[in-house]
Amino acid sequence: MGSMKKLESKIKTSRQRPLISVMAALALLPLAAFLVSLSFGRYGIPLPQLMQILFGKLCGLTPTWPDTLEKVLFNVRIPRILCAMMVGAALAGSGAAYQGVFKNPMVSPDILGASAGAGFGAAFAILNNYNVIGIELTAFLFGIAAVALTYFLGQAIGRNMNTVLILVLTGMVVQSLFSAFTSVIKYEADPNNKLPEITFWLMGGLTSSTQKQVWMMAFPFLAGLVILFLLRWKINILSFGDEEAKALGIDTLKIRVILIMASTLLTSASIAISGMIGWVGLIIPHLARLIVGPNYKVLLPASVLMGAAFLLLVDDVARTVLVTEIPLSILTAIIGAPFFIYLLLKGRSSWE
Amino acid sequence: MKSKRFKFIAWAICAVILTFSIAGCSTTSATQPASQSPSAAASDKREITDMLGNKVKIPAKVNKVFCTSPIGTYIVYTLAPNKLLGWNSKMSEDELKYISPKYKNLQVLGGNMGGQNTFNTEAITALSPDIILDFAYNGQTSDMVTELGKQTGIPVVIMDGALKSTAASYRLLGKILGVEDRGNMLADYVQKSLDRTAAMVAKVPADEKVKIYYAESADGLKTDGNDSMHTEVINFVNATNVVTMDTSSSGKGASVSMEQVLKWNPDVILANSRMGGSNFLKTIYSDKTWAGVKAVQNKRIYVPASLPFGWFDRPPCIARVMGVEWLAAKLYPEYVKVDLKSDVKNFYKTFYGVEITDAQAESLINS
Repeated sequence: MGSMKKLESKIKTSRQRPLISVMAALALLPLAAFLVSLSFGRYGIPLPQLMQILFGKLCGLTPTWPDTLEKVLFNVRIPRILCAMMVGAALAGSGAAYQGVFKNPMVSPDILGASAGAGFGAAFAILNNYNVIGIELTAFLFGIAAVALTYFLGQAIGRNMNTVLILVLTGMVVQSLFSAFTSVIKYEADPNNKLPEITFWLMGGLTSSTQKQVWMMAFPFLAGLVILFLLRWKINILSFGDEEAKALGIDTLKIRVILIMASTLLTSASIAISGMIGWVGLIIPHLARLIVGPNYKVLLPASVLMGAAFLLLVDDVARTVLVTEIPLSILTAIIGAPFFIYLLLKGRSSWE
Repeated sequence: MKSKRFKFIAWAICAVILTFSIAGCSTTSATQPASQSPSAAASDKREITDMLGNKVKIPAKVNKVFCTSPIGTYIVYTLAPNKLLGWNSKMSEDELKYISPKYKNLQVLGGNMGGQNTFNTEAITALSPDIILDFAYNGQTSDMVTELGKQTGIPVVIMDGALKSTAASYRLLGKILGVEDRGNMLADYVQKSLDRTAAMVAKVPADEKVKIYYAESADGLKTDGNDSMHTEVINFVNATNVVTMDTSSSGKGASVSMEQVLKWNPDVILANSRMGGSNFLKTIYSDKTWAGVKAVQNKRIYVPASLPFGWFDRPPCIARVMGVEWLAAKLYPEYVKVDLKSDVKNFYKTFYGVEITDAQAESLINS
């Protein structure tokens, strides 16, 4: 235990004090984004009326406001805001965890096949006429199944080899396998009926967020996040290498499995309600690392907070700018790709 | 030991290839004699101008047609079904109920739909169609279809898929397929039917124009804009599509937010029962949020029939002629006084050659 303390202090940087204020600022970020987002939307709700409804509801006043406004606010806008925040937080948090577990900054949650598996699950469910909940549940289960398959294949193949590399490779295989299965279903699907439905689903987006979606997401979200949060300091140890960690008496394999499971839970739950949204899991942890440094004790919460605020603001753009929705994945890619190139360029100059 | 195993595998592969090539030969040789003779006899060519203004040389006698999408397949089916080489996708049991027994088992050839190619160029070539029939919307054609024509040397005839061109399509296709009388008869039917509805809906005053939202998909939030080939019927019957936005005509559609739908507050929701729409219809009247929409409060959600072909959309085909009358009657009962039931029976008999019962007609009207 003593050596552990030493390790931790090794990680701690001299900018310990400013870090606290930075974290406080980051904690305020999603809250501010939430309040700002409340006033955005295609259905115009004047700010005074918005305040009136919110306070009225909080204090249990009898409604003096139009019923429709209340419905828009509580059945449409707030559920969507909550979904966007949870998905953003889940993707960024699991992305940060994956990067630590695989000791690879280029890894993102879909590398082990979660998205491909979920996509296939949804296509399969749509082809078999499941209802909305059924589609989301099937997507969720297949996302987890794909990662489990990757994991066990990796275990079976890489007994005495570099397991991380094997895992990433089997992940690629499982990913393309499930994408192929999805293509088979799309090929079989009726082009006037099922095919457009599958295409719609794979396009993703938070358009159909309702209170039901919020509750469906809440449990896996909290469970996954609590596990990551409790184990966050152990990710630091993993990033030092298995040898060192073993010397400290840490069962690296067990920790890895738990972390991967929790991250997959988060990713699959997100994909199930929002479809595939790329880049968040990759760029937000990097951005967080730029701000708070590599210590997972603060990096993980920072990623989660920034992810929530980021996706919420991007979704605000997606749902308000045009009459029709802008697909979220397009926006995150347009913001994410240039930022990532910037990171690569910056990385190169620091290597030189 | 190892080399022995490899040898076995090699032999096995050879055997598989051999079986497949023999099977492949036998299928082609079976279709070849039947298909080659008529087109060889009709070696004279004639030149026609298709609806995009292209001059195309086609055989004097056209006996076999491959249509690249259901839009073409369905119009040829109503005009000269014996010249149809096959369907574009597998028909469902419900759809087959309205198809004459003779054509129920027509082979499935695939097509070019939703930007995706599912036909096999060699398989199409082996069937030696006299022409390839394609439908364009706003003059837009698919490169894949043009490429198919170039690769196979089979003439590609391109028609205009707009609703108002339906009668003209029947006339031209009647000439091309050598069934001018039927072509003209169906064209007259289409023109008369469309003109009659157009005259009736023209009397609807501007302030009584109905605002329509077209809901597709399970959440009801996917739609098509008013410039799309998928919503032409709405414009035709003098109603307003609330989605005035330029959405793509490629068939992908657009999604909108629930807030936007509440803001539009449409008088009528047209719900596509396909593409997950059946799930939408199950929940729409019990959903708290959708309850805020006028169309839901007034129970004005209409579902266009889709059997055997879509009356409104998916695909936007000749059945829209019936859809126009139906939608006009649903939207403006004061102005559009028609006997829907007898018109539906008449339409199915004239175009599809099937007698339908009163009950069937009613279920199509109120599906």
